[in-house]
Amino acid sequence: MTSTSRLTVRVAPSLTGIRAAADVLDTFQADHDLRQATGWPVHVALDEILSNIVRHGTAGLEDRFIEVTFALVDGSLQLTIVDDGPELNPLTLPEPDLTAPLEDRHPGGLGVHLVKHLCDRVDYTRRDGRNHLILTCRGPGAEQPGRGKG
Amino acid sequence: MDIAETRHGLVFVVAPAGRIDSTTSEALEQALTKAVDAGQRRLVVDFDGVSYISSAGLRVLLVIAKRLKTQPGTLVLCALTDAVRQVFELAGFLPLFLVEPTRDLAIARCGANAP
Repeated sequence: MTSTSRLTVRVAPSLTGIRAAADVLDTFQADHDLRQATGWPVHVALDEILSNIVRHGTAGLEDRFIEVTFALVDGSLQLTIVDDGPELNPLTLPEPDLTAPLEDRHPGGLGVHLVKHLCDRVDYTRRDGRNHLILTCRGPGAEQPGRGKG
Repeated sequence: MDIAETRHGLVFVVAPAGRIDSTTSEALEQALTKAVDAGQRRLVVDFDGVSYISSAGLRVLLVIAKRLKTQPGTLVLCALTDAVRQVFELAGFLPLFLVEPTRDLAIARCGANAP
């Protein structure tokens, strides 16, 4: 069975905007019975990506925005995050050192590391001067991400 | 975010509730910083009411743990929910912290472990 449901919101590149996007994710999960299946990991992933954009990308710039599209695609929850900030491909960031002792630990890179492990699939493209990041989290009975849609 | 603070003898317990993410981690950082500034050296963070934690929250824990290590002081974490534990595992955080299953055990360990 193939079904698609889609919702796009535009939020400010700020903590207020991040909170608004998280609230929409809550509602989208509840409306599509996805809370049990996709739960908290996608929330953490969304927070990591949006806070990265706010920190490194569009922060402080006027009239900038982040657009988040929530979609149910063949049973998977798919988040497409688009921003018009500088090119920022989180997948090319260096992996954090996860074995160093406390005094040598730094939080840098941890967020993207979490995203890679909490989502079933992460895709990045730079298109039309914008960053497009697609996070896919499988729901119950979903097809393998990347299959079925070609 | 609601943060409950309780004193048990010399041990100060901070219990955040809800999500610890980029929008709430500052409140947690302020609560913990305030406690250390006020002279608390035996801190317990109780995660029983925490639905999930993102790297913004992990950063706060790193900051406080480093600070208490140099003071010196003791930080014990307890009652990690499944979501919090999974993020700790992915981030390689479990070896960095003293972790107890319950608040009572954390308080006992914090008292016994104090410098």
